[in-house]
Amino acid sequence: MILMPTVSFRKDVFDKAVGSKLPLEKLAGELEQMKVEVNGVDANGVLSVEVTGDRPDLMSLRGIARALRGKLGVDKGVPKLELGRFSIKIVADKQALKVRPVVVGAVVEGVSLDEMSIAELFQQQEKLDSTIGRARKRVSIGLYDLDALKPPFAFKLAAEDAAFTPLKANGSMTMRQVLEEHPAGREYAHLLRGKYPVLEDSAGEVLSLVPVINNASSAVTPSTRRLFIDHTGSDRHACNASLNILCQDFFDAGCKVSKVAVEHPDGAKATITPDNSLQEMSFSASACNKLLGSSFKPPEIVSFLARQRIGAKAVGDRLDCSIPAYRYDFLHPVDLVEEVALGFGYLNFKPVVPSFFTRGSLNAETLEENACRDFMVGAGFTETLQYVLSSPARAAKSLSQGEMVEILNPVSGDYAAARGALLPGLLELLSKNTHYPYPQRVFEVGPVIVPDSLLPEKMRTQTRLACVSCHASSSLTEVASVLAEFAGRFKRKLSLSKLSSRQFLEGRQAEVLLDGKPVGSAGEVHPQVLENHGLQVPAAAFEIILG
Amino acid sequence: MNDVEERALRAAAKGWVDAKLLASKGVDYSALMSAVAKLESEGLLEVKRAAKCDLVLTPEGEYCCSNGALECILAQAVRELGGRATLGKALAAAELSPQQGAIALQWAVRKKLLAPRKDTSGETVFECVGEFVDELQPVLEKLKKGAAASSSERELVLSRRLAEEHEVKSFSFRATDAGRKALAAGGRIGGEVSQLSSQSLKDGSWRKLRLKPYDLVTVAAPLQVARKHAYVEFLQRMRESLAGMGFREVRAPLAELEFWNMDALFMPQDHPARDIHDVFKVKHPREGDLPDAEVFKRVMAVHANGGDTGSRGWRYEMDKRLSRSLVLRSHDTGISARTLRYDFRSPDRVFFLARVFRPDEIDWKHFIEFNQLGGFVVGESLSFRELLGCLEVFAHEVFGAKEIKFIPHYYPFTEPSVDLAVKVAGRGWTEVGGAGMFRPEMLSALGVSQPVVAWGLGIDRLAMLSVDVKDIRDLFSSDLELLRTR
Repeated sequence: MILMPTVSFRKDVFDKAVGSKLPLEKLAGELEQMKVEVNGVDANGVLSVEVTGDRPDLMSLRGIARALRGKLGVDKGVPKLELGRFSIKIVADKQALKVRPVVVGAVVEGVSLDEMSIAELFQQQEKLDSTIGRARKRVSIGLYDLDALKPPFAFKLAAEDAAFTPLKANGSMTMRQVLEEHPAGREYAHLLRGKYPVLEDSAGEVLSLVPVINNASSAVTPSTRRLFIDHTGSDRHACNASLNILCQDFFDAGCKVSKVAVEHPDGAKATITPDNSLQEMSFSASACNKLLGSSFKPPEIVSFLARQRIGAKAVGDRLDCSIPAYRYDFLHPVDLVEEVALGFGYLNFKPVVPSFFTRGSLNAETLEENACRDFMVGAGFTETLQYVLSSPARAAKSLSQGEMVEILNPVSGDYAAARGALLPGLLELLSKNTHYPYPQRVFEVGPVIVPDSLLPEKMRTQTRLACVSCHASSSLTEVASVLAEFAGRFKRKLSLSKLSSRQFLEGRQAEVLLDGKPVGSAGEVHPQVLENHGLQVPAAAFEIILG
Repeated sequence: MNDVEERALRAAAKGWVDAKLLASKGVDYSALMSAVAKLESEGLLEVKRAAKCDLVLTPEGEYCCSNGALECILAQAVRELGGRATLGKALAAAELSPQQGAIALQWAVRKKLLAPRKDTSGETVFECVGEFVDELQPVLEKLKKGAAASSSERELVLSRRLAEEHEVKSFSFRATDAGRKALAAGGRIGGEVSQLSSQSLKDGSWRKLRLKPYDLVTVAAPLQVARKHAYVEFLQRMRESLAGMGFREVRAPLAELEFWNMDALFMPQDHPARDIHDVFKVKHPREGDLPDAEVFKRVMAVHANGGDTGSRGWRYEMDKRLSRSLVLRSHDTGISARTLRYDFRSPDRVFFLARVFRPDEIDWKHFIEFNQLGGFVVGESLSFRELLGCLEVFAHEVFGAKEIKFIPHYYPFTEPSVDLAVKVAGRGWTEVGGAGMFRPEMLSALGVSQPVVAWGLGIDRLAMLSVDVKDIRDLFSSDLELLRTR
């Protein structure tokens, strides 16, 4: 359920970044213990891995190598990051900030990219856009060849008929055409609320229609030497973390990374981005030990954190931690405790079983269901199990009345609603077994969902028992005698009253009451229903609510 | 000769009779089987037993039978779009579901009906290559009519799962000369009778009776016995195992407020697992009522800024409408939240076997409705090591694991979080689910101040081993033969 993005990159470059070449199995074992699952290496030497959704910093070769170097003890503590002073600025306009409230940027020099590393960079951009960026809503990333552009840059709104040549298009398009005709435009138009926020250079050349698509003229290619990176979005913290991830990766790769100034309207003080200051958080060794069931001394905790690339200082029982700016997963000190556990190694913990006494029990409804199942098997009925997901068509086929809870986004018409009764499923089962010898006697005990406006959920999950007996001489008498015996067994009083349902034959059906309370119905299945299911043998059935 | 025997013999006097046909006319099948076996042993009937495999179309097969092979539908759609189109456009024009589309594309490329090309903008498009003939549809039509298929046709439809083999056992019999004579003589064979009658016991004539001895090879025909469902029994054993370890079972509704399914677990409202593609939403009504103003307020606060937990929270304001929105529960952790809020005890061990619903591909190992075994333990002294201890016990006691492994993982509601992988006889490492210690943000909002260790394990893969089925959908099979033999 939790999104696990897949990332792939060249293993030889990765090994070089790690500084040692581990055998694949050993590597997979190490990575597995740091939230990176190895899928395998293909014939071209491309390693494919899956990363947990909380670690956007691990969605790249450099990020995984950095973490692994810590785990292997090659590097310790907060990774080095030196950012140059800003020489480029972005001037943000008030109207553009209304659509995308955050804009940040950075400059990278000395890059040397080949086709593969460009593909890996775009992959990282796409993974960041979709995870930490929440499909570009929270964060959207732009990468440009700085040498094709003339800073400073302006973040502003463009006119509807302003034109540029977007990537993956055949020629110049207006802003409006991009949103209506370009695949990226159609996908992300909903984020723009009818406006066209763009980054533009001092010569009036559009860098990109954010967060949709870049101008082809400043596209990143193997001849790119200097990069301009921008992030726009709704969440400053997320934009900053994502920008730090890219800056740290480029710095690790040996590039020179510099900050960018963002000037705000109305003369407010310029922001220098990215903010790469360390995140400070403290926790106590004793609380950590209580949570982990461990007895680590503060210096040990410091060394476990160092392996996780986190800086820590022990002050008595207290640990003051410095978390690199590229980490985006620290909400609460408990998150540092997990880092301690990871640094120590999950596999090194000695499991213990909680020793206090509690009384085990089965739920009362489970006990009742089991008693019913025992009874029905004793009465000669074979147990079946059906999905709760069903369809209005199936209910209609057995002329089942009553409202069904339908699903807004079904994946298949056969499973477009929750069942409101068990009988349609049992008849469907019989229809698939006409080749099988008769008599066929089947039952199910299970949940149905029925509307109930009095509950906060507006629906009630109800456990029911239903059975069908299908053979040449099946009759209401037969199923009614099962009910009579059932009532006797469970010390309930059975009575039957007149019923008129289309599911059953007129005059050969009854409402079922237990202790005077209506709980269901019984009858000989109407020939129309049998015909609908291709059944050529008579059948009798009942369905009652348990509980 | 009893009634059933006489009826069988009479029916068989004129020639071959099919047992199932006779049974469908109101003769009890198991009684008929033992009658025929007995008459055969007495030399009164000749019996022919045969088994053959019929091909029955799967839903996919039915679809292709009426609409044509998927790859041809796709290729035709591309042709109608002018001979080249992007996959998205072609799929939309062909009106194929994403699953069908994937199959269609795979075959269309393999059979060289379509070829991928890069267009000028670098986007992948598919082009028609030459003429094509749909050789699949005629075969499917033939099968649907019940006609026999050649072995290559058989292999073709089976390998693509367009049809399934249903073994049909046939069983027919006819009267021998001796049988016809016995019938004429009113069931008496050469002075021997085949059944002790109550009349003979009453009048003492049993002393003169000669009872025909049985042929002990054919005397035992299998009896059709009603039975419980193998998978339900598997679930039941699991329940008993947990109750035996001191866990109490709880239940919760299948249709749920998103508030309990997600918000109360400290899952931010823009979390990817809350996407419309990952949760079934209820069509009508869309929204329910928030039951508990106090807990809602606290949950809203921890999402916004961590409340009083020391967390920075997710830094956004929860949308009440989304909290009220109704879903079919997509995982079992909401049951823990409900139980911690409304039925809190300490110390406590709790478990639940929960049916959950999640949009997914439908194939042999995925279905959109399945069971999870979840639960939690509450106690002042609990730690991460107790969590691992619980998982270790489940792995051995519940799953019969030979080896286990703990793998770090991420869940929004637990920290630390861990996945449990087990190695069981007959297969390699299998990840069976997630676990962790509930986050302080979640517990605080629910009013719980003690540590809680929790887990949610998938059990259907292991149930498949236990029940011995190869397809996850067979856990809910409609096949009576399967239900009676598993």
